[in-house]
Amino acid sequence: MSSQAGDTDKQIMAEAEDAGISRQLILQTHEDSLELREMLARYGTPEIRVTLHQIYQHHVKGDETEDNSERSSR
Amino acid sequence: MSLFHSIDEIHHNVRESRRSCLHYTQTVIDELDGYGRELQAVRFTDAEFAMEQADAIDWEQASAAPLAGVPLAHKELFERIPQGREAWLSEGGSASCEGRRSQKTAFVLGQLDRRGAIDCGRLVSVEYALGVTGHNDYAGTPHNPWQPDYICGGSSSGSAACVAAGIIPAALGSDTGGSVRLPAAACGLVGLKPSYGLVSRSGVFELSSSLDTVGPLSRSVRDCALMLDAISGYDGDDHASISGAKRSYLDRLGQPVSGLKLALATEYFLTGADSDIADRVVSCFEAAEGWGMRLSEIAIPDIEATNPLNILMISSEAADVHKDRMLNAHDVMNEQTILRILTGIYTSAEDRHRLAHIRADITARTIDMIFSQTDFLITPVWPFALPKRTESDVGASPQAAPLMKRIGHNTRPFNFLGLPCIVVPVGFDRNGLPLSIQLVGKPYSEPELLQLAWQFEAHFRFWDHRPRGQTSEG
Repeated sequence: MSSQAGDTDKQIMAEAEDAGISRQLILQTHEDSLELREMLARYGTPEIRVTLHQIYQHHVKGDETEDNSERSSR
Repeated sequence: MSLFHSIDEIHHNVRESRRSCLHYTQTVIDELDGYGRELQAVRFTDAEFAMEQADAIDWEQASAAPLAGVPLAHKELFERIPQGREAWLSEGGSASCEGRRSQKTAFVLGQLDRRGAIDCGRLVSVEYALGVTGHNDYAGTPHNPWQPDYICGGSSSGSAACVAAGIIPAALGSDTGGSVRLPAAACGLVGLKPSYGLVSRSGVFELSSSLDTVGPLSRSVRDCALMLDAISGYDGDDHASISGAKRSYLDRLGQPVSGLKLALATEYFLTGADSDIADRVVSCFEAAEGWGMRLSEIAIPDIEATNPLNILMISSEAADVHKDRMLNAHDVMNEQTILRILTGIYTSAEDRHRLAHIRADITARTIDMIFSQTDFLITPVWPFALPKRTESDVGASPQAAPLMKRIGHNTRPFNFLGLPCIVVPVGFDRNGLPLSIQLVGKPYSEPELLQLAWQFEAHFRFWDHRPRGQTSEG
């Protein structure tokens, strides 16, 4: 088990190992995950109050051929 | 004999002689079952359903619909329940989902049905759409029609192979980190990843709900525009769908691009590419000056971070969807898939919330920064020459893993930012395989992106080239 793993990570790693996934694969992916999560931590939590959806809604021109009556044949 | 007909040619031919619609459909089914399977690109065909669709077209109503009578087939992630018949298989390219059936008919298929397109079957996807090389031990690893020893790229690998082989004029794929654009570029096709919220993902096998997009692969820009015109539009069943975003995608084709601004994305994109690829992108950029475009170079702060953040987002959301399946059925799954899901399995709810905030923050700033200076970006697609299938099989050779990570270098950032992108073939690499550029626009600028892509297509005339040994039927 990786020395850098916290309790939650250790629990997840044990669950994967119990399921029969190779230890080498678990350790390798855990290292990759740590690297990615460290990068995330460096960004902190931005103050931004808008969602991606709102950002994109803002760019809609609403000018042309939308046909909202169309629906699939589900 | 492959067809190599465009959507317009097929539509025109079948409209002029109604009987030929059934003939066309049967020919495509035969080709999919013959050459398509030889390429390992086809999961299944449904000749009975396709012939029923072909037979049912009301030509008086359909003659104005540009897709009427056009046989298509799509990536296996697109679900369908034909009326009064058994639902089509929806295995997500994975033995872990063997025998799973579609839960609904995808919104985009309903859009194509209403325009008279004929759905002939399903094409190979990388397992769970979670891979960029195209390898899939269960569903098949499609051969590149240009040179069979080389990969098609992934994950929409079967779609790319069948369109490049001339069997069908276009196919739908999905793109979460480059899965339309990478195979399109590898196979000499036009491939479009639409803006966030423009095309519904309802009824499409899910990978990463925050990033998944649906887009067409085709041999021409016009066919791409026709497909986008059909599939785009608001759908209340998709939480990301945005009302009012659809525009006309055909009107600008062929219009001059003089006065429009094009920026070469130098840092990260050019520096991350092999020199022969970078040189080709620069020469394409310079060609645009001759069309009266206003050129500049641009460096984009934070772009480097978007690639790993996109990987984290895909892995985390894929783990959400597929964790239980992976724990229970990993022995029948591809190692590449397990690697990616395992990487995301540790991400906490708090981290995912933070990631969504960071994405919105970077996106808002980056869109403002880029498009205050230019209308479009130009970048490479693949950062290096296309590898052979044996060189890039992570399952068989773990040393291929770093290569796999590098493949999405130029595509993932734009999934993270939600921006529309189109790839266009412009020539060949040192091994004689297609080489493409990527054009990126502001949100919902697909009409202008298609306009510029059309200009590149007309200039480089890649359409005139076909894979080895292929000739047109007429």
